[in-house]
Amino acid sequence: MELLPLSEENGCAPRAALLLDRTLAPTRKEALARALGSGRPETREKQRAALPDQLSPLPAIEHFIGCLQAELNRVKQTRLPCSLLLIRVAAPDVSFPRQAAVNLTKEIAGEHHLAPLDHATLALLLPGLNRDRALRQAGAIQQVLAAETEVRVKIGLAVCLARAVPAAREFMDMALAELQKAEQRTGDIFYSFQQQEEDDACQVTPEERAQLFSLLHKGKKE
Amino acid sequence: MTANKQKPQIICISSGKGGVGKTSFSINLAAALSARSRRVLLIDGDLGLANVDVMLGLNVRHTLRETVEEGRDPREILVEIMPGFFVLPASSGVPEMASLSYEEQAFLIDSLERMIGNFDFVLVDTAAGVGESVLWFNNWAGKNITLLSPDPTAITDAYALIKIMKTRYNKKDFHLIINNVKSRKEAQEVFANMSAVLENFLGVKPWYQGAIPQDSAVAMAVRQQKPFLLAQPKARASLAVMEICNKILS
Repeated sequence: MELLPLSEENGCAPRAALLLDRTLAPTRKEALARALGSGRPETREKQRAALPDQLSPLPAIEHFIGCLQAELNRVKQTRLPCSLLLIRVAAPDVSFPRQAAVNLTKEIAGEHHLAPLDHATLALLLPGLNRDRALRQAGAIQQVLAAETEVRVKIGLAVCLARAVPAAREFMDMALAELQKAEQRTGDIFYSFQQQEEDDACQVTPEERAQLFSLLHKGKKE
Repeated sequence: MTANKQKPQIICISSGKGGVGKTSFSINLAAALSARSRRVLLIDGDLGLANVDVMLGLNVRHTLRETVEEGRDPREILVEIMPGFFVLPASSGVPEMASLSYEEQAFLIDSLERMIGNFDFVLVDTAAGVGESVLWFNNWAGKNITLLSPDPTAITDAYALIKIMKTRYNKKDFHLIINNVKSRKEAQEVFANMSAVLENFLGVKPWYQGAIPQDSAVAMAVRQQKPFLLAQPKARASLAVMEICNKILS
């Protein structure tokens, strides 16, 4: 028997697995540990199975939508956030998605999902990443792609938090709306983050303050 | 056969403004509930600038910081104050603990949920302000107590906290305690005013949980590092806390 360490304690994934015999090859064992440790068993295998053809390194968008829905369900379950990037280059090219996937190898972790929307646009799902971390990731991706493709790269980002989990298509639309903003305006990265809007909505207004203090003012007059 | 055990009641005690008396009230409420034969866990929710241990004269070696950073089981850091009254102390002077990541928050809540089953009540004494930890502790709790005093700043901050909890987390039940009042009449006036504003602007009808009068016994007990309920059980503030305790139990 062998104890296979999987992950640091994070409340979402098992910490170790007990292998009953030693029949697994070291590479297979490593892949298994990585997949189990991320709490997403066999993600890469599933992705490979979903490849539209042998030439593309990326899974079909239908598979991506399925992963997106699964991740959104995980947000509800684990209360960890999830971010979605839509990345678009200014000069569409049939080879862009494949080339971008190669260029971004270093930027994309094992549990991230990348898929092409069309010849100019990629969708990248970042499980567990909050707004700040996703923005940092978006910045790094933009730099890599802009350097490689020498064209302008625009990114739309949507962040999902546990308190309001949208459906997969709705989440895609949120990111798409931000991408459109990025294309229409001078900035390159736009994001939608519910908390920002809520913060404004939570602010105590002058009318509320006036009524809160009315009793005190009344007391002074008396 | 398994026992049909109910979950403990989780009560979050917040105020928005600091210095309103959250910690003092929390430890006295915990003492009152345990005096009524209930098993009570008091969590110091001010994770980066803890005070519960100071108010109780404890010199703790282990804190919730070790749970978050090292994965230590919270049961190992429990301190028993008196029969049925336990404290989970937090760290002081650790800014990282005041702004936990989502992963750390989820892990902490998960660790706490695994160990609260044996208690009748879990009280969370939160930090001042409307920081993330205050909000997620309030969201976690089944009952939200907001402490305020007749000061305009305390009233505004309590209102702001309730507004955030209602707007962002759709919380609807808020129990108000008016602390440091000159008279019962003053407490009722403050509550009536707050209640009117909450109803008018947020559609929230708060519950009147009680009031605690100005009492020199409170400041004296703080200096003695003891709950005033134990130091001076007949003091006006102690009687008020017992009244609130009875209301919670009823």
